[in-house]
Amino acid sequence: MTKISKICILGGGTAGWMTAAALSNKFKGLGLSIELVESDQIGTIGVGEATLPHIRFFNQALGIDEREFMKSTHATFKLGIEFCDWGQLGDHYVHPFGDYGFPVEELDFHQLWLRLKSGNKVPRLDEYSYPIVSAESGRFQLPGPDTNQIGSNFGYAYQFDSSLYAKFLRTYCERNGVIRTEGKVTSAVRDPGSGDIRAITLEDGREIEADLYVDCSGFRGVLIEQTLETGYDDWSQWLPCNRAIAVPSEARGQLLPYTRATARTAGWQWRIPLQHRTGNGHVYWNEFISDDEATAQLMSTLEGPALAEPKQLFFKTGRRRKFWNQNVICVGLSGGFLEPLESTSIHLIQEGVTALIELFPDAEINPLDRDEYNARMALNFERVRDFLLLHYVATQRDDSEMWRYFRNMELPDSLNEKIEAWITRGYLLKYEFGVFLPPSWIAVMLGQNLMPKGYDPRADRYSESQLLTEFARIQRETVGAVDKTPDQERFLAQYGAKTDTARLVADRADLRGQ
Amino acid sequence: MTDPSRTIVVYGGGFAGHLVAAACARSLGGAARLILIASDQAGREDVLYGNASAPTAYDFFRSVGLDEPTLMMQTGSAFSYGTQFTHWPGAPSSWMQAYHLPLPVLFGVPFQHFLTAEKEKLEPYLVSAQAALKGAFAHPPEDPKNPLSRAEYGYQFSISDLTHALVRLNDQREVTIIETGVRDVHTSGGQIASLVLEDGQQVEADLFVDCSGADRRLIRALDVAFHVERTLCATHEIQSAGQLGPPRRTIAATQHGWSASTPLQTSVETLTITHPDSASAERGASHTFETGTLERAWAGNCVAVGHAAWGIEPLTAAPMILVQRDVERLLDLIPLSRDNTVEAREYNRRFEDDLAHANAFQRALFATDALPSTPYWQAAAAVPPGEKLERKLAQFRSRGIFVRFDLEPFNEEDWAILHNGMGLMPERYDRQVDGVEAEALGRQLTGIKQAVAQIVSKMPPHHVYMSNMKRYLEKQKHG
Repeated sequence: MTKISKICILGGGTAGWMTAAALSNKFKGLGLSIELVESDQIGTIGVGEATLPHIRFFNQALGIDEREFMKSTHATFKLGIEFCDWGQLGDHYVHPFGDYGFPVEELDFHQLWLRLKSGNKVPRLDEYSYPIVSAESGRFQLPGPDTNQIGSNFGYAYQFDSSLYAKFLRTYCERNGVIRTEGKVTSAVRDPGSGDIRAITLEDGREIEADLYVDCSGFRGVLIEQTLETGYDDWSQWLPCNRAIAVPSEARGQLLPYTRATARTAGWQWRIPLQHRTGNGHVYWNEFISDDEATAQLMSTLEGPALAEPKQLFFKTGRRRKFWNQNVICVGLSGGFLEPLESTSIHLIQEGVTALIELFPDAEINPLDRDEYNARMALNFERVRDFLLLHYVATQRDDSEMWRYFRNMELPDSLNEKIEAWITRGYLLKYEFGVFLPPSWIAVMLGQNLMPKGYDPRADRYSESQLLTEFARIQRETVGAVDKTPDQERFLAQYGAKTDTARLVADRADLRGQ
Repeated sequence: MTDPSRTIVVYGGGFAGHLVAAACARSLGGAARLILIASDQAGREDVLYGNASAPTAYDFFRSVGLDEPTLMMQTGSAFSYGTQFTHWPGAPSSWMQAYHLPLPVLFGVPFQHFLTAEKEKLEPYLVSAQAALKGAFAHPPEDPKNPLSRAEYGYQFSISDLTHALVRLNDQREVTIIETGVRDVHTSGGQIASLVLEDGQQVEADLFVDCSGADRRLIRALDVAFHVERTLCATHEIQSAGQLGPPRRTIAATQHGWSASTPLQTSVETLTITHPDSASAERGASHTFETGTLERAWAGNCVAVGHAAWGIEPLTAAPMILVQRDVERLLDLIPLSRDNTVEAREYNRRFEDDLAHANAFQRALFATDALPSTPYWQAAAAVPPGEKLERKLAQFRSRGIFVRFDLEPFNEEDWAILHNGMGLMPERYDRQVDGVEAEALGRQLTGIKQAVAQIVSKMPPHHVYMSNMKRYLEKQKHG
C-alpha cells in the first residue's frame, strides 16, 4: 500500500495550525510533508477563546511547556463557565470541570444531596464542588495527584487568545518542518475518474499537489463545500442563533478563572478574561434583534473601554453531511458550527485531528477509514448539540420572543428522555463517548432550576445524621482547600505563567467610553 | 418522598430470584417491603448461567453481601483468569480468553499495531493468560511496576452452591419468603393485578420481578413476546476432584457443539452444549433451551430478570454479566410511584443495548468461514451478526482499531484477545510504528514477555494459593 507523502492544509486559523502541529508531531520522520496554505488577506474567526480540559492532553502530546504556552497566548486558567440569567433573570450558576462531592458506595453524591435537600437540610450542591467555590472567589491552583482529595478532584482548561495560539503553534510546526505558503486558493483540480482533489491552484497560478487535503478554511469550506458540494445539515431549528458581534475590552478588576455566559433577550453574551484583555461577544438570532441593537447591547455592558471596533460574524448551526469526503477532511468551522456556549469549538477541532491520526489513510483511501471518521464525528457533534440545546430549554424565561420560541419547541427524543428521567428522579442517562459527562448535565439542569421531583430510593438506606456528618465534612474541607488556594493572578506569577505584556489600554479617543 | 409502603414481589426460587431479593434487601434497606415467592424452582436452566464470572463480579457480589472470603469459604468457588478455547473452528490454535487491564501504549502507539507489524501473537504478553495456562494464581498486587498488577480475575463457581449462599443470606434479612406455589396471575390493563397462590391467598405489589426462568410466568401473562434465536441442548455433569485445578475454564469445540469444563475447589463441572438434532444430545440428563430475547424486559409493573428475559449460551461470562446488569439496572430504576413510564423506557433501552453488545461478542466467535456443516455450527452461523459487530470486525480487520459503543459489557481488551484468538490479523498498522527504531522496539517487546514469564514462574499453583488463603481466613475468623 502506497503511503501518503504529502498533505495540504488549507487555512491557518486555530484549526489549521492545530492540525499541522499534531500531524507533524505524530508522523515526524516518516516521510510525510505537510504544507499549510494561508492568506494574510483572510482573517481568522477566533471565536473559541475558551477551552475544555481536554486541550491539556493535546498540548502535552505535543510536548508543549504549559508556562511558555500560557505566557505566549496571554492565557488564564479556567475552572468552568458561569451562566447568568439562564433559568430566570437574576439566576447564576457555575458549570464546573469536576464532580460534586464523592459517591457513597454505588450511589451518586447528588442523589444523597437530593434526599437531604428535600428536607431543606443542606445548602446548594455547589458548596460541595471545589472548582465552583474556588472559581467564585477568583482563586486557582493546579490539582494535586490524588483525585480522591478535595482540591485535587477537578479538571481545568484555559482561556487564551486563539490567534496567538495559532501563532504559537505555527512556530512549533515550522520547527517540525511544516511548510507555510502564503496564498489564496482560487480553484481545485479534480481527478476525472475518482473525483478526488488532485491539486489546488493559488491566485498567482501556483499549483499545490497533495494526496490528502485538510480543509480548515472556516465557514466557506473551500474544498469540502465549494468544490465537493458535500452538503450541510442545518440545525437552526434547534439552535437558531445565527450572528455574533465580538469585541475586546480592557481587563478590569480581579482576573477570574472562569468564562461567563449571560443570557439576553435574543441570544447570549460571552465574557472571557485573558491576562491582558477581556474578550466579549454577543451571539444572537437576527429574527428578534437588529444588528445595531445587538451591538448596542454588547457595547453598553462592557466592563471596560473597547479595544477595537466590534466585528460581526455570520453563521448557521449544523454540520457538514460528511466530515471526510473523497480525499478531503474538514476540521474546524468548515466541518460545522455550534455556538461557543460551552467552549466546544476548539474541542471539536481536537476531536477531528485525533480521529484523523487514528484513521490516517494510505494514498489510496480505504472507504472504511472515511466511514469510521464520519460516524465518530457525527456522534460528537450531535451530543454537543443536545447539551447546548439543554441550556435554552431548561428555563423558566418567557420574557421575549426567543424564549417563547424555545418553550414551544419539540425536542429531539434523545434530549427529551434525558430531561424527563432527571425530573422524575434525578437519574442521568449516561453515555461513554461524548464530551459532556454526568456532572455537566447535573450542573446545567440544577443550575437552571430543573429540580427533580424524586430521588433514588437507595439514598434512604442511610441515617440522616450519618449523611449530614459526611456532608458537613466535605463542605468544611472544600472551604479549607479554597482558603489555601491563591488568587489566580498571584498563582500565575508564582507559577511562571504571567505574560510580559501589560494589560491593554484603549488609546483611541473615538472608542473610549463606548 | 419515598413511599415506605412500596412492595416488591420477586417470583422465582432459583439463582435469579434469590439474587434479586438479596440485592434489593441490601441496597434498598427498609425502603421497600420484599416478598420472595420461592416455591417454584427456576428449573434446570440455572446451569446455563455458566460457571464463570467476569472481574466486575468482585464488587457486585460484595455489594449483595457475598464478599470474596465468603465465596471462597462457603461456596467452593475458585479464581478464574478466563476461558481457554481449544479446537475452536477457524482459530489457528487454542487461546486463553483472559481478563486483563488495558494493553500498553508504546511510543505513543496502541499495542495492537506492533503485533500487526511484527506478526506476533498477543498471548505471551498477557500475564493473566500465562498464569492461567500454567495453572498458577495470586492476587494482583497494587504496585503498578509489578507485571501481575495488569491481571484481572473473575470467579469459577457452581451455580447451585452460589444460590444456597444467597438463600442463607435472604434467611437472615428482611425478606418475606413464601413457599406456596402460584396458581394464577391476574392482569388488568397491561399490569399484573395480583398473584393467586395455591392456598388461595392473593399477593399484590407495586412491582413484580419475574425470575421464573424460561417459564416466564409473569411477563408472559402480559403478552410480551420472546424472540427465539436458536434451540440448543445442554448436559450438565459434576465430578468430584481431589485437588483444585487451574484458574481457567476450558471450552473444547466438538463436531456437534462444545463442552466446558470448570475446576472448582472439590469438583469439576462439565457443561456440554449441542444442537437437539445431534445424536450426541440424546444421551444422559440433557434438556433443551432457547436462546433469544424478550421484546421488552419491563412491561407494565413487571420486570423480567435473568433467563426470564433472555437466553444466551454460556460460552463466556456473558450470562453472569447480563444477570448482574439486570440487577444493577433494576436497582437504578426502582420506581418511585405507580407511574413508571420513565423507568420502564430507560430500563428497556439499557436492556436492549446490553443484550445486543453481549450477543455481538459471542457472535464474533462464529465469524469464520471454517465452521463445520453440522446443525449446531450452521445454526450459530445463521444468526445475523448485526451492524455493530460488522463494523467492529471490519475496522479491526482493516487497521486493527476497536470500534466502541457506550458502556459495553465487554471491554477493548476482551475484544483484542478475542480477535487475536480467532486469528484475525489486521491488514494495516498505524504508520507511526515505522518511526520506531527496530532495536528499541525489540527490546521493549522482549522485555514485556520476559517480565511476564518471570513473574508467572514465581506464582504458586492455584490449589496451593487457595488452601493458604483459606487457612489464613480461617485463622482470622478465630483469631
